[in-house]
Formats: sequence, C-alpha cells, structure tokens
Amino acid sequence: MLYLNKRNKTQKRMQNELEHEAVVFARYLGAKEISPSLQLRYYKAVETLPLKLNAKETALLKRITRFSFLLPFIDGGLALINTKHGIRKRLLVMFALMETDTMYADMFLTKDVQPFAIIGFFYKGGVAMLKGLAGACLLKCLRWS
Amino acid sequence: MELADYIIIGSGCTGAMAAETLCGNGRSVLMIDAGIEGEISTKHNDDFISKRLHDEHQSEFFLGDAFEALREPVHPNIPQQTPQRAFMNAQTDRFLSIQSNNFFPVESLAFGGLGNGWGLGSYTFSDNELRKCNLPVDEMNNAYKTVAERIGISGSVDDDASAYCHNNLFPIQPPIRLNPAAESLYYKYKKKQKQFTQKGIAIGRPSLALLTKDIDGRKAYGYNDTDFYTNEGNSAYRPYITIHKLINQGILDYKKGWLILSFKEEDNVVSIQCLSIHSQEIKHFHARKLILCSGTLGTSRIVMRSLAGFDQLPVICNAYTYMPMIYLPFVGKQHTGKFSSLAQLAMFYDPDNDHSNVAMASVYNYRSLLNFRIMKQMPLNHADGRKFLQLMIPSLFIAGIFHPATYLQGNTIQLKQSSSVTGDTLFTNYTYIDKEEAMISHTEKVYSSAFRKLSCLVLKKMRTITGGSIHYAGTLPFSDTEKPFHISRNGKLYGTSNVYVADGCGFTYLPGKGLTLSLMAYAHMTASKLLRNE
Ligand SMILES: Cc1cc2nc3c(=O)[nH]c(=O)nc-3n(C[C@H](O)[C@H](O)[C@H](O)COP(=O)(O)OP(=O)(O)OC[C@H]3O[C@@H](n4cnc5c(N)ncnc54)[C@H](O)[C@@H]3O)c2cc1C
Repeated sequence: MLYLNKRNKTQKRMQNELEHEAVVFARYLGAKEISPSLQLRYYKAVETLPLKLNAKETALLKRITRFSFLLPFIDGGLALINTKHGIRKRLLVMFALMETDTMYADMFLTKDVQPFAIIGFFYKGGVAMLKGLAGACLLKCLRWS
Repeated sequence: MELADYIIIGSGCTGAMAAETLCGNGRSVLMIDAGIEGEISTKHNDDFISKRLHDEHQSEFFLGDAFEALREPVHPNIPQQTPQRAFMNAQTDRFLSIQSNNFFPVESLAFGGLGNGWGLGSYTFSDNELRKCNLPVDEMNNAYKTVAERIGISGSVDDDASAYCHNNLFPIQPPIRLNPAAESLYYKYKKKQKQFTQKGIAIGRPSLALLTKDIDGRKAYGYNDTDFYTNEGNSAYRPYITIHKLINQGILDYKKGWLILSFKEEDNVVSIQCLSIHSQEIKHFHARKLILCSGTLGTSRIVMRSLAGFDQLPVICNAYTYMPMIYLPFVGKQHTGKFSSLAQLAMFYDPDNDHSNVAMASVYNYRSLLNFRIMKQMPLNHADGRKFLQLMIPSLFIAGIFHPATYLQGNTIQLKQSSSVTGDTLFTNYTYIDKEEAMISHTEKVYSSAFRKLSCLVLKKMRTITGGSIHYAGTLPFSDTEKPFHISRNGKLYGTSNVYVADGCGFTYLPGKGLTLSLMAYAHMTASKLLRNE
C-alpha cells in the first residue's frame, strides 16, 4: 500500500514536471495560450516514445526550464553540435504536436503572401544561425553538452 | 491433394498483373501471400488544409495513435513513411532477415506489396533500354498497352518529356493540374528550353498511375493532398484494386498468412513449402505451374533455398540522389490552396541523346508530410526554425534522381544459414566502382546546374544509402542458353520444368527511371506466354 502510494506520488510528480516542461516548450515555440490537451498529449508522447534523458541532459533541461531565455541559444547550439540530443528530440515532439493541433496550425501554414518574404527568409535564417553559434560556444565553454 | 493450375506467390504489382491475365482467361489460380494487411482509407476525406484547421483528431491521423511518425523511421530508406503505410514493411525484419554494411533494401510482406506506397510514376523503357535489359522490344511494347489500360495512366502526350515517359505507346488521360510553384518553374523552363535541350535535358509532366477521369468505379483525383495517408476513390492504382476485383468476381483464390520457403518438383507437380506467419505451422500447396512474383529479393530467397549449387547471385539497384531546393520566387507565397504532393515534373538527362543511358529526376513540392520532418534535419533552433519554415515550405522542391545501373563485380546477394525464423539470412554487398561513381557525380552536377538556371537554390545533394531507390533487379539474369540461376526469355527458371519468374529478377539493366510499369508489363507478358504455350 505504502509502496503503491509512493509510486503514484512519483508518477504525479513526473507528470507535473512534464506538464511544466510542455508549457515552457510551447511558449518558446510561439504559443500564446497553452491548452490542457496539448500538455496531456506531450505527457503521453514522452511516456510512449523513447525520449528518456540521461543525467547530463536532465541537468541541462532543468537549467533551461528555469531560465527559458536560454532556450533558443541552447537549442540552436545543440542543432549544430549534437542533433541527437534528448532535448532536441523533445522539442521536436512539441513542434509536431503543435503543428497537428487546430489551435496552433496557423503558426505553421503560410495562409497569406508574406511581403518582403525573401528578405525575412534570409534574415530569419541568419539570426537563427547566430543564436546557434552563440549557443554552441556556451555549451562548450560551460561543458553543458 | 488439391492441385491448382497456377500458384502465384505475392500480391504486389507483378502478382496482380500475372493474376489478372491468367484469371481473365479462365485458369484456376491460387495466390499465396504473406499478405499483412493495413487500412488505407478510400473514402472521401477533408482536404489537407481543412483537416489541419478544423479536425480535432488530426494528431492521431498525421502522427499515429502511438505517435509512430515521431519514432525513428522503421527503415533508413523510407523516412517519409506515414502511420497509415506502416503495414507495408511490417514483419520484414522478422521474416526477411538481412545483413549488410552497405545495402539496405526495402521489402514488403504486405497485401499489395510495395505497391501500397509506390509514387505511381509509370514510365516505359525505351527500345534501347529494353534491349539492355534483355527484354523483347515488340512484346514489351504490346504489354505496356494492356497494363496501361488496366491501371489507368495520366500524363501529357506532347511535351518534351513524353517520349521518355511513355512514347505515346498507349492512350492516356490528361495530366494532373500543376501546383502554382511547379507551374511557375515549368514556365521558366519553357522560356529557356533551347539551353536545356542543348545540355540533353528535357522537362515535362510525369506519367502517373493516377486517374484524372473516372473509370471502372474508380474516381478521378481530387487534389485533397492526402496522398501519403489515403487513396480517395481509388484514384491511385494500387495492386489491391486488381486483387479485390478478381476475388469479388470469384475467379481468384487468395490465401494470406503464408510465407513461402521453398519449392520442389515431382511428377510434373510443383509442391510449395509454406510457413504460417501466425503459428509457424508448415503446410504444402500444389500446382501444375508456379509463378514467383515475390519481389526480386523475395523470389531470389525462395530460389536459393530450393535449388542447390549456388554460391552468390548478382544484383543491380539504381543509385538515388535527393536534392532539396528552394525556388526563390515562391518564398513566403500563400500555400493553402488545392494541391498535390505527387510528382509534379519529370526531368530527363539523356547524355547520349539516344534514350539508352537516361537519368531521370522526379520533382515534388512539399506540404502534406508536415514541417516537423524538415525541422528535424535543419541546423536551426526550433522557434526560429518554425518561422523560417513558414516562409520556406511554399518554395521547397525535392528532386529525386534515379541513376541507371548495370552489373558491377562484387555487388551480390548470398543466403547463409542463421538462427532466424526462416533459418537463413541474406547477406548483401553493394558498392560503386570509380567509373560509376564519377557518372553519378556528373549527373548530380548537371541537375544542380539545371535547377540553378531555374532560380532554385540547391540546399544539399543527398545520396541515399544503397538500396534507397527501392528498385532491385537482375539476380537471376535472362539468358538464351540454359544455365543454373538464370531464366529463359519466357520467364522459365532454368533447372526446373514448371517454375516461372515474373518479377524483376531477370532484368539485366536498370534504366534510371521507375521500373514498375515495366515489371507489370513483364509479368503480364510472362503470363500470356504461359497461356500460349500450354
Ligand atoms: C515509397 C515508394 C515509392 C515508389 N515509387 C515508385 C514509382 O514512383 N515508380 C516506380 O516505378 N516504382 C516505385 N516504387 C517501387 C515499386 O513499388 C516496386 O518496384 C514494385 O511495387 C515491386 O513490385 P513487385 O510485385 O515486384 O514486388 P513487391 O511489391 O515487393 O511484392 C512482393 C509480394 O510478395 C509477397 N512475398 C514476398 N516474399 C514472400 C514469401 N516468401 N512468401 C509469401 N509471400 C511473399 C509480399 O507479401 C508481396 O505481396 C516505389 C516504392 C516505394 C516503397
């Protein structure tokens, strides 16, 4: 009985952590509101898919969920130096879940012609690359990767 | 002992065509197949954009109930696999054991075989190509007509690519409408046509086994852009269409769940040893004649188990290059109209200008496979990547180039005993020698230069791991003289009296284009010859 209670509590704590992670990731990807169903699906996906993090990845995840302004740098840095990193995998899951959710689908579709798109295209790509380079330096210097 | 006139092994494109020819002529045919089934909906669906904007359950549809689309691909050579098509390769790792460092073929044990996922590109081989394959030119050209009539093909009859696609050998339906970006690209080509012709490049509409007009209870294509997930109205030809038809007419006996291990001949009867894929029970079926349509590698396994005296067999496979590129005029353009994710344009590079050594590229727009698959491969953070992709996807083209393939020394398959369920494992080896490698690189350069001329920014040239073209042939080459592990021009396996091969095993060359229309034509031709020679 005691053992079962303990297990339930651990599971509840894990679920809370994942739901918090879902909020941070979804906000980072541009969501203004976060639906409980998105949080739940994220939780289910992490439970279902092989997305377990190792100790180093877990430590890094803790840092970026606390200081979420670091996310674009760390994410971009990992994209350059370790594409298979557990955090990248989890971010991709959130990306796909939002893409296939009516509430966020607009953010992934090009519904109207974008003026000056070609400038925006190169600018956005360039800025993202710079963030990635900064992030890669950070990861290397602080030995976070 | 029940004795069928004919037993056909396999329900893929070749099995379906051989069966239609034999059943249509009143022969008793038993089709035996591993036959793993899945569910591809043929009902009307919302179009892709409505689904994205309004369907609360789209996540299950696009990602799968258990998020299958987010797992590592089941096979490195089919990264675009959707949950609906997962059955196509199910259980192959269990029953088709394979080991290699450099050759990873895609095989199927499904009802309908690889035809459940084929891209519908239907190209005839030119007379020169047929000769190099060791296939009879006139008979194949006649067989193309019959097959085209059965499956329904759409395309253009008078553009620069027509001669390479079908050479007007048979009547076809009008081509599908082009997506706006592809239309613009094609228009650009038309303006610079002369320059391209001088370089040996022709661009036009692909011929596809896709209806643009209703026939035989099948519906014209609806531009709903759910082609990787459904087959609405059966507008796309898939082998199950033929097999369901023959079963419903009561002229085909179909038995699924059996993996054929080997065959044996005694007193003019072929006895086939089968393993149940569910219970591991062993059973024997008997026929006067056996026709193997189990896919080149599947058939080779059965033959190697049945006939003694082999060491290794040769194999040929097209090399394949992916070229993702951005069509600059379409960056940030509206991308929510009616659309098709099927091949938009077909490009042919014919260096000798004689249709003998052609390398073809199919050009696709990107949309319905969703942005996350592209995001996965981009060296950007996800937040900026999302915004970047929103602008990029409308302009994204992917060209898939098939390079012609001939026999090269050392490219072989070998069946060795192992502890797998079937008791053996296929060992494969595939590499390119310098000359071939140089030709592939040259063709890639020609294509990227052509795309640049059309205002495309080529992002990458990615050669798939060998086997990635999913075009295999040549393991039991055609031969006019009797030799072990060869087949005669009428499909008979030498060393046997009543065993025939009606898939790609005999082809001694693989042109750099889709081979499946030719496989189907060959299967029909073999079945017709059998009828004639009875
Ligand atoms: C994603 C994709 C896109 C493609 N696009 C194109 C294209 O656009 N154009 C083109 O020309 N080609 C294309 N192809 C290739 C095309 O699908 C194949 O060439 C074609 O389907 C091969 O048909 P087949 O009948 O020879 O063999 P298969 O389709 O492999 O069928 C083999 C059959 O045999 C059965 N079988 C095998 N072994 C056994 C056994 N031991 N016992 C019992 N049953 C057995 C299987 O269940 C199956 O039914 C594509 C393939 C894929 C996967």
